[in-house]
Amino acid sequence: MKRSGDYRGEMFRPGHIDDAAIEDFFTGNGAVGELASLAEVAEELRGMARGPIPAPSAQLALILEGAFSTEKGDSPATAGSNAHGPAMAQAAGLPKRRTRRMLLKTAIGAGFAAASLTLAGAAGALPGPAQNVVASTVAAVTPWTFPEKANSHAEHGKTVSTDAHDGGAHGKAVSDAAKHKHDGDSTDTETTTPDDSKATGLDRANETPAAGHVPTSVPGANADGKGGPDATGPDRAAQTPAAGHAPDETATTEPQTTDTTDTTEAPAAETHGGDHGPSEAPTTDGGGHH
Amino acid sequence: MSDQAVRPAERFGDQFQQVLAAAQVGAGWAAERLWHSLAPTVHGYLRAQGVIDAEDLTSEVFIGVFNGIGTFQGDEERFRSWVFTIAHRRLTDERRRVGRRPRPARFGEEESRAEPLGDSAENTALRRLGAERVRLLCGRLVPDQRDVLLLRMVAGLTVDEVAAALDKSPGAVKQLQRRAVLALRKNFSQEGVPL
Repeated sequence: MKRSGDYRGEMFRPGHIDDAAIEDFFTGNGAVGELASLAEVAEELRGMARGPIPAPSAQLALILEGAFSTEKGDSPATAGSNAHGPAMAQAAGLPKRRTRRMLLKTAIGAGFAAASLTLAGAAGALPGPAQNVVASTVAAVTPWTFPEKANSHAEHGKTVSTDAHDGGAHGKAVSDAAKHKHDGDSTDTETTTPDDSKATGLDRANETPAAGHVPTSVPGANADGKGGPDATGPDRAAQTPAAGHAPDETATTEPQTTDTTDTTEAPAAETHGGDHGPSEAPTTDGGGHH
Repeated sequence: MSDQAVRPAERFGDQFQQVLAAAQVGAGWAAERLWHSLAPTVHGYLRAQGVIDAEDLTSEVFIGVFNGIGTFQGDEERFRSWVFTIAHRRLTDERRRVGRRPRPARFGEEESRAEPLGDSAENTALRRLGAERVRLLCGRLVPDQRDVLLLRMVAGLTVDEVAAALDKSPGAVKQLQRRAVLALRKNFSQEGVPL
């Protein structure tokens, strides 16, 4: 018999509740039967999940803006759980932002290196092969032309010519080297390179195709002292086969001679002149062979 | 018997994998969509658990989510379960840090920031009263029962997902939810005051 005023859903009556009723309670299909009294509780609990979006913390706001920075730095932190998510050790991959930053740094460094190389090439300050590569590259891709390093023979010519015009600073050294050569010791000639600071003009001359015509002695070795450390270019010029044809004023010869050092005729200066700079005159307008 | 839980929050459906992939490479818009979708539920779960500063803890949960999202693999259901696994573990850490059993937040402490706009003062007061009473009822449950009840009712997880989040077997979860419902009904009946 049902008593008046008794509502089944409002009275607590300990007893069995079947699984279906419990599942319906949790899934929202309705709290009925034994659990009807809890319908409002269930609705209140579900309503808690429908609240407004909370305000993110400052740190989380940065992540939501895409900065992806955490309190543990740029590297990905360990996940809070691996129950359903990553079931393995955390990957050590870098965030994309960090990779981009590294690439940017590398590009900037490469840009500075290329700019430095170009400037050095423009100034002609690079070693010979590097200078040539830079010059040819720049000439190919730009309208500008960079100076190229002269080849070794032209370098010899320039050096020898300079020696001949610089007041005979190497006169004694040349003389000594010539004596040494005359004694039959050719080791130095074979091993000395043009760039070697100890190389003499005679040694260099022996490396030329006209080596057979190089005199075995140099004016600097004369007893009168000409060609010695204090000897001047004209003094030595007067002792060359071209004596008498050399201009009297060194000042008019030097610029012309210098101009020829960059030409392909530079080795000829070595051949005929050796240390006798003014003998380059035939290749110049001011040489005196008129 | 249906084991499908109620999903009050936004569902991505077919778009989930795209959103997940974008979030995994640090796209802010994708992270924001995930936040908008799940933050209210996580926040509600933590409030129901009695966390005083549920907003800050919600942010900490999602910082952990976005830290580990790069290696997450799975569908939307697994992602949701994974998020609440992190939330529950942050909650456990918070309980240890506080060093006491969770107590419900003081009346109006959190609700004042969580009230939707455009509601009447009377309805707001009634809702606050109802929410506060529900929290008190839940606070009387054994922690394991309360965890199962709230993960199922608020987070909307299935039995299996709750089992994974709490590192328990599905059978144990079913027993806990049954006891939770019985205890809730008993406590509610003894109070005798309707919500």
